[in-house]
Amino acid sequence: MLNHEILAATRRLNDYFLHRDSLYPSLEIRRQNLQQCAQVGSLRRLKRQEILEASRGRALVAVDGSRADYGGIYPYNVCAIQALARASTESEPDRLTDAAVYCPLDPKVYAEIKEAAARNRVEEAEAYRKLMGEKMAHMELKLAIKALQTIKPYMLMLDGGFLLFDRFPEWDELVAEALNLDCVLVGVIEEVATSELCSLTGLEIPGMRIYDREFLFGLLKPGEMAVVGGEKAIKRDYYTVFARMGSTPQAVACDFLPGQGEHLVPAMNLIYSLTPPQGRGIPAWLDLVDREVRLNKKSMESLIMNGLDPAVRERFFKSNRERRGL
Amino acid sequence: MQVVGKTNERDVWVASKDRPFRLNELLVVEGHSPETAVGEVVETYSLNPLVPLVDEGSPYLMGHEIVSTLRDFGYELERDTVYLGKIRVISELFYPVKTGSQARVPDFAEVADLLVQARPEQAMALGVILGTDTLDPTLPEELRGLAPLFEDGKVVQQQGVPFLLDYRRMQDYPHIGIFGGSGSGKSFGIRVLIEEFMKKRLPVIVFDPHYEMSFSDPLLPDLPPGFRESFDTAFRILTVGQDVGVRFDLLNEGDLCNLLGAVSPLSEAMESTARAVLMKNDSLATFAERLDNLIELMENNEADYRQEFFSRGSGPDREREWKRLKVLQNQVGQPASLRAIRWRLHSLKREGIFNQAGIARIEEGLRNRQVVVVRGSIRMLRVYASYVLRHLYGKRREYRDAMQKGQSAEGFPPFLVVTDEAHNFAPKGDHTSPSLREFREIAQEGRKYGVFLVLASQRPALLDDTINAQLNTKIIFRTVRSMDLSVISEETDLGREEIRRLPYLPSGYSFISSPIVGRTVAVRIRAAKTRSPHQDNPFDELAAMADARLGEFRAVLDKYLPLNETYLNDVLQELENRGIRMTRSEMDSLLEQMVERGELIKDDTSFVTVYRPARQ
Ligand SMILES: Nc1ncnc2c1ncn2[C@@H]1O[C@H](COP(=O)(O)OP(=O)(O)OP(=O)(O)O)[C@@H](O)[C@H]1O
Ligand SMILES: [Mg+2]
Repeated sequence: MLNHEILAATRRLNDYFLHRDSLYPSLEIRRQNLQQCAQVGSLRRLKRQEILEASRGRALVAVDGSRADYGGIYPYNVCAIQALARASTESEPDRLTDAAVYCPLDPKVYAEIKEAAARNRVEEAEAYRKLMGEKMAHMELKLAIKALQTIKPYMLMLDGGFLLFDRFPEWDELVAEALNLDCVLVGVIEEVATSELCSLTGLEIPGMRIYDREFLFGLLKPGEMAVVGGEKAIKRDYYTVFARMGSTPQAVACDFLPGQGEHLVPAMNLIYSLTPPQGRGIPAWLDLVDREVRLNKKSMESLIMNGLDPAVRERFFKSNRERRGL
Repeated sequence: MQVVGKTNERDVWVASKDRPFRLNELLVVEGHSPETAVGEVVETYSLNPLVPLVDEGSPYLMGHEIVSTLRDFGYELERDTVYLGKIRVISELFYPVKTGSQARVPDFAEVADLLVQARPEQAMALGVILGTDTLDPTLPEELRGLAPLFEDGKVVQQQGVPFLLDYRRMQDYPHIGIFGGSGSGKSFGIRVLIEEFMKKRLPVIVFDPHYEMSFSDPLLPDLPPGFRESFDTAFRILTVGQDVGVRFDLLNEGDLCNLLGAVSPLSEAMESTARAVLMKNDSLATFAERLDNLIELMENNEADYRQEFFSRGSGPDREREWKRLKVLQNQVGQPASLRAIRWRLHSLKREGIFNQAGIARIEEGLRNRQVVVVRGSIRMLRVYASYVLRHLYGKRREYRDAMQKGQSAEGFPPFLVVTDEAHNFAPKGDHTSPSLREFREIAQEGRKYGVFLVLASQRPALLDDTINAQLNTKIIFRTVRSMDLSVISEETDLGREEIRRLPYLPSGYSFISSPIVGRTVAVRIRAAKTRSPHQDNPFDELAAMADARLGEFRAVLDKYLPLNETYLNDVLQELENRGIRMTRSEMDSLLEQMVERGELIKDDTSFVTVYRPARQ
């Protein structure tokens, strides 16, 4: 069924976007503004010799997690989380994994949800969703520390910006360990969701909040990066690098530690070297780990089929939607 | 090896990081209650997360540079190659296989029950079960050496578990069908089957329209010692019209109508006419003469014809025959039916089907527990098979029925009927086909009397449905036509995966679907011990013929060299004198060939062409 009113509303939204576009400063102006607060430079693909010199045989490690849920509406829901840290070398071990399963009906889990809901003043369902996200980030963080200690890599890539992780007490340990081992720590952000650049560059459009994603769209040329940091840092004191590494006009962002500024350019060049030019701009190694760790709907179902008794499944988790059969 | 993904009690995926799966190999899945589960690999895949899938919306192709950058960090692409096998669980499970269970290659003893259901001495060794090579080291001695294979023109040792078919269980699950396209291995397979029948001394009648079923020549001149076997006393070859036929004097009215109807269907009027005209003790000659006379009588003035009739002979017999003709004249009414019968009779006569030898030598062969090969053209065999089967099957049935009732009767052994081109003998949708009825009857109730069919055909879709449904054991070779594939998928328990493989099977590879075995098994048919008398490559034959011709010509030509073109006719004459007929154009072409081969030099520098020998 396609309702005419819904279509009309969508058209009106479209008109708004066209109008918004017209208010927008031109590409040249945006570039000039960007250059005021960020250092714009080009990336370059590294030669074999350079890589070998920098890595000195050490591994590349990427850490990523995945979560999936099964069941109906809160609280009849099971959430599975797993995380993987994988080394590029054939070191022993070359993979570290962790996993957990949560359910709001479990009193321990429920207690946490209740506490978080009260603290953040949100509904329990919302608190549960956020809590699961945090559990996953926490799991990744702990795995990252373990990976640093056992694999001692040249570079460790986290999936997501540092803000995702630095709220946990273990963060300091990770930072200390990275600095100690001289391992470059990078947080790779595929979907830039901040809205800092606009105000940072002094661009204001009254009544309109401009997200960085929009600001950056098509702004950088392929193989270009913009480094923000030091006094103008947008997140704590981290360096944030926006870079257009793939063919899409969208930029990705990478977070670096303030103490690792000297590694930033070679590290970005390396990440660039690892990024397929036609792709969506994600370094291959991270993508690989992402593919390996991913819990898709199918594997989640299989997990449930094999892990839960049919009676339990039917009683608690089978949603009516599933029974609907169409 | 580990079970992955969603499972059920029948289809399971198994993944391995270090070992590809092989089609048809058997695996056991551990940790199963109450026991381990055994499965057969029916599909295999290898995949690498970095090499894009064909059907992925946005393929993710890892560029060369990226791969090499990763390699600088110690990563090899191959490390992420994953092998997947789809496994069909053979053991009977009532619960799904547990995902995550470990899988491994079994020992023979663990899967023996699933693979071998009969002792070798009680069964026919038809080939080797595909995918069982890994079981070879643990195979017991008694199962070795039963099914050597034929490979690249050589006989090689059996590798893996032999496929043994307990022929005695045909009692429960009668009849065998052998299907496959041209060159897929049907004839070879029938040969293997018949060799096994001969070893077991089973009475078999083979209708051989291809004149290929002879078992005298060994497959190769130097067969391995333990494998070679002579069948000379185990079979006989009889040709219709020469060694066997139909004895006219023994025909009853029904037989006669069947034979005539086999040429072309009879109307009711024709049938009653034929029944009326045939007299006890008629020979072919007396019956044919009566037909002629009757037609003459009906088409001529009676008085004139009577005179002519008696001018050709007289006496009491002649009188009696005249009276018969008069009676028949009233009974028959129309000469048209008589004519219809007459041309059918002549057609049978021309084919040579009437022969005083009858079926005695066939019967004798079956009683001697031999394989009796009956040769003839397809047309002839269709008619003859119907006659022979009616008699043999009748004898067997009478004997069994009499035994049942406790009466005494002449014994007649159970037997098998083998034929290639079965769709010609029992075609679908053609009820007038001469032998259809007999084949149908045996298909439907032959089991009761111990008469079994082995029917081979290139076109299962053209074979009578009733019969097709009765063929309990089916041996399916390479099949390409979609019509045949769909019949096969309806009539057998071949799965989707097997049906998909059918068009690509190499010659001699088959799927055997049989309730005797309980499941579909992929089998490579063993090497036959013997070969068809005309297995020579026709192109070799052609080359040999050409060489022989050239040789003859060369011998004569030699004496005429150097040869002036104007004397070419002398050469032809000389050839003719030696009994070699050759046309001028054939000779020209042979000369051309010799020039091309460099044996002759064609010199046309002067105004006549001269052929000179090339050697100085
Ligand atoms: N079991 C086998 N092992 C090795 N080679 C085989 C086997 N079966 C068949 N072949 C090879 O394939 C060839 C063709 O086989 P065959 O004559 O049996 O085919 P067919 O199915 O009878 O074909 P058509 O329908 O044309 O008569 C044989 O001459 C032989 O070389
Ligand atoms: Mg053949």
